[in-house]
Amino acid sequence: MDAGGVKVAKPIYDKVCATFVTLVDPLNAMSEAFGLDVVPNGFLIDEDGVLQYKKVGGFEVSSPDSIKAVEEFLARPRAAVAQISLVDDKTNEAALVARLADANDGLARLELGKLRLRLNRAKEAIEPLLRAVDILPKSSDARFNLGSAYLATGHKAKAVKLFKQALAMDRGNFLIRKQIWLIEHPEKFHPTIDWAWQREQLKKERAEEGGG
Amino acid sequence: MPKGYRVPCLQNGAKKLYSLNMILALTLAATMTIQKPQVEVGKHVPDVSLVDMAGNSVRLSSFRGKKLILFNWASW
Repeated sequence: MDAGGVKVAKPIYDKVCATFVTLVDPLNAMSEAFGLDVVPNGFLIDEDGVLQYKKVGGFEVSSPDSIKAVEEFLARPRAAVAQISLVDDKTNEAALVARLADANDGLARLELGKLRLRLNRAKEAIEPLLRAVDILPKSSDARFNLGSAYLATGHKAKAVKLFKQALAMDRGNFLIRKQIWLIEHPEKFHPTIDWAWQREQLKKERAEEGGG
Repeated sequence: MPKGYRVPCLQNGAKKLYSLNMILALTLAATMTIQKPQVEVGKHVPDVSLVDMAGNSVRLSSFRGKKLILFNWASW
């Protein structure tokens, strides 16, 4: 698979006759914003957008604990909903572009790159992300997103190089590690997932990474 | 016994009964900055734009006003 999330998710979505909303996160937006480096995770969020329960790693939808948490959550009275003002993508992009006047604003470039990637404008994302990597040399996120932009524009080797740099800055991040595996060893993920291979590969990589 | 929100197949009911939205956010890849943010119980979650099965952007904040069960998983 590549970073085209829907391609992977849609067959599963269809197979399980899902009637709930299913979203994909090929650009690591949620994992990055929520601070996640593992899956599966469960979150219960009330009407006002306030987190009421979280289980990070090892969340099982059908476990007694999860069912109990969900039942209690659903039984709660409605939370009051505060007004929020949403900025649309176009307005947001214009604001980020305006911030480019500051040659040192790496975050604006990173956010602009992410926004354009999400809007399937990977080509236009590369330039700001290249600058973001320069300005934010310690940002694993900037490298990951630049890699995603390269992947989306057909530059697989460049993408893998950047993903590996991002992983080197964040060794515990299984989501990046598996993304690299998916690109380099697609046969281990499709048509079935080779778990024994993953265990061996992880052992091998950990040994190579040694003390680092 | 199982209510409608059980996976894999959400049968009738759950949404009607509870005004419930359930999201499966499929994480295919992710990374962090050096300082990882943490979501905390009792605080607002960050607003995030994800992509639905038709390729449209969907924000978590668009589910405001409803209870949200967010199950974040990956195919691998």
